[in-house]
Amino acid sequence: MEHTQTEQYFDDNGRLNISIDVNIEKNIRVLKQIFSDCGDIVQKSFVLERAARPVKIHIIYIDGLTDNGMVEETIIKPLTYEWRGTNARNIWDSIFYREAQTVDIKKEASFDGAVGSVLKGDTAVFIDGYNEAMVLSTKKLPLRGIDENDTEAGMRGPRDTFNEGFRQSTALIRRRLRDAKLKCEQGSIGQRSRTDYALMYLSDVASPALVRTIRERMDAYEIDAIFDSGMAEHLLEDNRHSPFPSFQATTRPDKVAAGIVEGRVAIVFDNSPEVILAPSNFNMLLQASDDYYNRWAVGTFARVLRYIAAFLAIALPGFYIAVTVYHSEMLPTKLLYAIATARSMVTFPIVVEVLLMEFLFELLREAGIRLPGPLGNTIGVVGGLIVGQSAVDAGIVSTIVVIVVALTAIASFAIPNEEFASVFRLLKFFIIVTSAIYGLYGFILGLLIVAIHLSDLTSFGVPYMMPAVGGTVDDSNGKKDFVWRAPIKSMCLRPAWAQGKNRVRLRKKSCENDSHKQGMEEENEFK
Amino acid sequence: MNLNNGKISERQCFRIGLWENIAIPMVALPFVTVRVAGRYHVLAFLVGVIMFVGYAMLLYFFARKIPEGMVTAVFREFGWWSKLIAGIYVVRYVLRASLILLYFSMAAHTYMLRGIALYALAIPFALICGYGALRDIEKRGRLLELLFWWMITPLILIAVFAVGNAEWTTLDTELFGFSRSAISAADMESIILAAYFMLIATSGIELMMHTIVAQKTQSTVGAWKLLVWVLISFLLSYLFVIGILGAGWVRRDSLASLNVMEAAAVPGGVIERMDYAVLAFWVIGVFAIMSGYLHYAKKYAWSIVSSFVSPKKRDTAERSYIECFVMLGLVILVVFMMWLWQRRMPAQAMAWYLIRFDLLISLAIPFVTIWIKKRRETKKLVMLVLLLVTSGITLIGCGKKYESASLENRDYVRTMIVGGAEKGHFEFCFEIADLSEYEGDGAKSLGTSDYKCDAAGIEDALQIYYEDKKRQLDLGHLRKMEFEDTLEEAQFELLIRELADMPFVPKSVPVSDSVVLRDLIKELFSLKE
Repeated sequence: MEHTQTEQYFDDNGRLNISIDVNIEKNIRVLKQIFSDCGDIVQKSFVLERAARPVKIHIIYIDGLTDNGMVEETIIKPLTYEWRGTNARNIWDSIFYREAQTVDIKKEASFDGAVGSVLKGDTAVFIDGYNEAMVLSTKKLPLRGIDENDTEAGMRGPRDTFNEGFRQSTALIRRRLRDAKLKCEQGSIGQRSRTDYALMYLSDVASPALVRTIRERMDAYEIDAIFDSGMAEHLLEDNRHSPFPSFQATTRPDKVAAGIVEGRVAIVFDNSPEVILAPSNFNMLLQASDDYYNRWAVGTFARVLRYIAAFLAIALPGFYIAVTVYHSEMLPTKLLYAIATARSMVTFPIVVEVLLMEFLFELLREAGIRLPGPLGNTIGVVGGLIVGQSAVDAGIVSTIVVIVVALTAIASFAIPNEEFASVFRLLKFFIIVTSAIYGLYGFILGLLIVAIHLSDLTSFGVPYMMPAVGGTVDDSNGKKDFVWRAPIKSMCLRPAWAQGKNRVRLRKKSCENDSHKQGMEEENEFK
Repeated sequence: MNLNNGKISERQCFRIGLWENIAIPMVALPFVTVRVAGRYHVLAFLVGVIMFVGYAMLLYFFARKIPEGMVTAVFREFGWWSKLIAGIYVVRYVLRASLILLYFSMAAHTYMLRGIALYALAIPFALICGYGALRDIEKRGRLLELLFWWMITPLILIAVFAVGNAEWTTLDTELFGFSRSAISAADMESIILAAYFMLIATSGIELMMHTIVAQKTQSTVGAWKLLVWVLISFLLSYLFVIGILGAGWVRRDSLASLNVMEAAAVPGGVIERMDYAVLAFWVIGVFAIMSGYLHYAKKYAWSIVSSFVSPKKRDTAERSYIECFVMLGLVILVVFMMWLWQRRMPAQAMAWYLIRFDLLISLAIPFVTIWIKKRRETKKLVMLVLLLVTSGITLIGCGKKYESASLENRDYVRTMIVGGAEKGHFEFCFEIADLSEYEGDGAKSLGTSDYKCDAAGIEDALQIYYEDKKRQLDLGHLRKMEFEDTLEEAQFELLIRELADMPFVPKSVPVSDSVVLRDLIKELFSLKE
């Protein structure tokens, strides 16, 4: 019966459509009905007798999300025995502007706002005679600390990482960008989860159209709950059929800060340690933070390696099949004899061999992720070495296939972004199939299909293959941060998607110099 | 923020133009000029270049006069005749695409995948070209811009690694081996005809008339740059093919030029043969031109179809579905026409049209469009009469099924010794690598065994071996070939011809201390006065 009565307070979108009454008893009744059968809700009424007249006050918060001590220090004690506003006529102003011992206090005019804040860990205070509630920030969420980054490790650079705390994540970004123009537009998404999110960008660098588009897409869907940035990503992306990600997800605050400074928009989600950046493209997903912290030659070398690794990750098994099954004339004679000798003991055709080993490696990888830390590492060693060797001895596979598959796996691990690397692991099976059917012809056609798809993709209007494809936007500066990472001093401009009027990011303090002139010339192009 | 604007950059235009216009001509030009003009092929080439430049300049002029694009102009200027004109373009482009598809499929079948049927190679490729052609010009520009280095790098590699195998000292004879004072009227006619065929082979430049209007900044310099680089690529490919293979070999069939890729050898034997790798990349060049034809055929076809589609559907996501079906229809048509090319009568009709009318139409319609635009009134046109009668080009269908055993079920021949036997047969002796004791230490632990047989030819010998041993004999890694004195001259010629038709036999196999198989083939097919 009570649940039925409660339904009348909610609209079709699950929002409370009832306003706060001046009569506190009505408000208390509503609160009790809404939060019936909620053992973690703490509600307490008391009478403020030190005012001009006795005033009933009702406090509500969630045990487990709130700092109880802070509630007592900021509101209970000030309203009881620390009350200074003796005989105060305007109770509301007294409490709001004087008695409440906190800076983070706001008014809520609706039940929905007040209840929503309570559900996030704040404390709501209702006062008899007023149709508003006060909301005090008293959050004490169960969070882990800021750990060392183990998913995006690097040799050089900061090692802190985002965690599930929304405010901690935004603080880590703020810490790196101490700019008043760094905006942090907050909102919530998810009808049930009301997950907080923040769009962080530099207002004079990020394109207004980009920010607007993201904002619109965030509001475009009504969904029950968002538990991780990955779920939100799939609602916001341009092309849901593509396996390639439209966003760059990262746990590194330095990467996010660098992206914001380049004109991108970061979206931080509560309860998610991964922040997503938009727009994103192929080149960005192969970049690592180290590239900028090491010298340009070292950074360039690392990038070249990664591009080669990306190609090997998708192409090597297919190429091996194509050459050995259809075009063995390409192989050096000695290698051919070695392969033929090795294969003379193997039962299965080459294609089956490769598919078996690839499947085994994927199984081992998946098992390694699911198992707890030490056990996962052991499985990797056991699976990789012992099972692989046993398979060779048993004549199921040949040694060269083990090498090919292992090299492919290592190549995929060299890709910095795990989500991106997964795409390559998936696509390699497609190339294996096309190579198995048509040899090198099928190998090239398979890669051609992938290339056609990649050239189609955009991420918030930015071509996915930029700067390899410039289009009518001459992103000459983008090529300085491509496979070759130019010296920092020569990267004067922000990327092409940044605001046209504010693309210069590097200039010497003296006015008349080459980089400044170059920057000004190129900046004028985009005005 | 959106960087898409439906236009392409000068660089994209250049790359589209380059790849649409070199993949087929670089293989077809040597054959066309040598086959028709014989000894005077170099003169035919020069005349052909002049005709090509003139044709390209005309098309550029038309493009400048029709800045809105031919598709839009046709529907604006021709009134209810526009659907007919658009239909003509659809048929023209589909016809060209079908011929390219047939040529390409034959090459892939002959040089890469003999064991797979022709249509099993053609149909997936046509579908992928259709998929690539569905995109708008901006995405097409991005794709070819992206693929540029994929295609050019193998070409550079082959040039670098093949240059040592070219007979540059005899190039002069190959190119100018004719009496300069004795060019008859008939020879002149063959030169002009060869040049005209060369123009037909390079008529893919017509697509630039459509592409160049989509360029964001119209630049004459860009157009000249494209023309110059296309001509340079024609010249280089022509010189390489003739220099490496010789004019006689090239004349044998339309695919002979592809043998030039086998001449590239990586030092140190890291890759035994580069031709497969380069052929694979040539696929992308053919994709560029075929998808170009399909792209513009689709534009014309859509402009016809859209008049039957409700305005509500024209600008929505449903349009993309309808366009997919239009493209699928075009691909089916291309494959059907490819089948027609293999039937004598239709092939003759189509070839007749292609040779006599197609180039004329490619110039006439834009010319009339400009004329009508200038007159600023819609006029009724006299129907262009199209007769699809062609001269026959009977092309090879499916070849003999090639038994493709896996690596470990083959025996690898190191040396092949051929002598004469009775009744015009050959006596073959194959020195075969024995891998039973092989320990991977090069030649040290590698044994050999001999196999002798009498056969009518090499294919016959392979078949005999297979029937005897139930294993495939692999000639792909031959180290040496010897011909005994018992071999008669006629038999020797027969053998060389057979070897020339076997792409899997490496042409760089030494026959003596200073002669390789390629030299013997060139000498046999060389043009004689």
